[in-house]
Amino acid sequence: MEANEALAIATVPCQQWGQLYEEGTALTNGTVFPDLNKPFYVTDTLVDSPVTMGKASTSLDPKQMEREQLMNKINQVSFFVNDLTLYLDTHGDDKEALKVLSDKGKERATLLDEFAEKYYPLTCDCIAKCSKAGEENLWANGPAPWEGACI
Amino acid sequence: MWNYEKRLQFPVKITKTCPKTAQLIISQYGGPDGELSASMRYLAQRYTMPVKEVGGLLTDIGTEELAHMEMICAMVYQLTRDLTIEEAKTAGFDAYYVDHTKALWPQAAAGLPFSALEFTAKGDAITDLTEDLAAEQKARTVYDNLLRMITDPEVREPLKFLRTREIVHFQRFGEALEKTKDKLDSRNYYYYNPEFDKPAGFPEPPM
Repeated sequence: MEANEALAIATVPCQQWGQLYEEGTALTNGTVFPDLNKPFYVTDTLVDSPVTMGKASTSLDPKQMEREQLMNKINQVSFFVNDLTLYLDTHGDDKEALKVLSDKGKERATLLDEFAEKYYPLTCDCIAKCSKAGEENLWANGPAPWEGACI
Repeated sequence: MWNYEKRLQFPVKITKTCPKTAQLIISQYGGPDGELSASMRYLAQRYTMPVKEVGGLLTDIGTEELAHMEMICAMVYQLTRDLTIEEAKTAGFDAYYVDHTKALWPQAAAGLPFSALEFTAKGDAITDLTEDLAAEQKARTVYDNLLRMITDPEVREPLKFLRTREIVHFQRFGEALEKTKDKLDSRNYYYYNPEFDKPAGFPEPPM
């Protein structure tokens, strides 16, 4: 038996820090860690047609495309922050992970401010960053996330 | 407390109406292994968890599950947004339509309403973390089953994302269980309940 194994209780090995996906790949795959990406290959042949996600965006006007690109970037960086936060919950002393989380956290804050300034605020903390703050109800601006209009 | 962020964790953009798919996917909103159940399970268990980091993990995963619930709701909403009465009648959505029209209401695929009976907070760290490991596997199986039945790539991509999250969460709960075991006596992990008993020499919370 391994050191941490005992009878009559579950054992899961602790993950070791390793290679990370780049941001876009991480979001598509659902994890920043290649070690934890375990796809369900058995149904891949069932797909109707090649993935069309984002295809509609190409017919959009350039302004909306630009907005969607920034939103995509925010989704990618924020997901990195989410997944690393969970890793650090159980690996609190991992300095390398802390460094990446800190860098991505700063990038995320900058991107959220940029989105608020250019389009509408995504969090209540970003309202003050909009140039129109105090002139209209900014929090009600922009499509609801479930509309799928601004991915 | 919580703040709302006006975006989905993973984009959902479904262009084809399909009430049948909506009726299947709604199980991950209000079904026994759904995201609402997951969120409430972890957020309920964290208060009495004896190892501080484990309470933190339950808070963070419980919060992420709320974002997953929002993704599932967005999928059901987009699949039924342009629903006609003919589609409602013929595509297996009729019973739901009668009670809820196109509104989002947490229920299982088979129509059972969401219930707190679908999860537990037992007040014993090993018991609750073992439940959490099983819960992530059960949710993964539901996503496997959905991926077997659903062929629309616009629906499959967010489902695949959510499926991977179950596997990542399983790993984290496993590590949380190891952290809890580290604080206990490996000769007998069941000698006392660290959420209730305070034997001599057992560190006072937060550990």
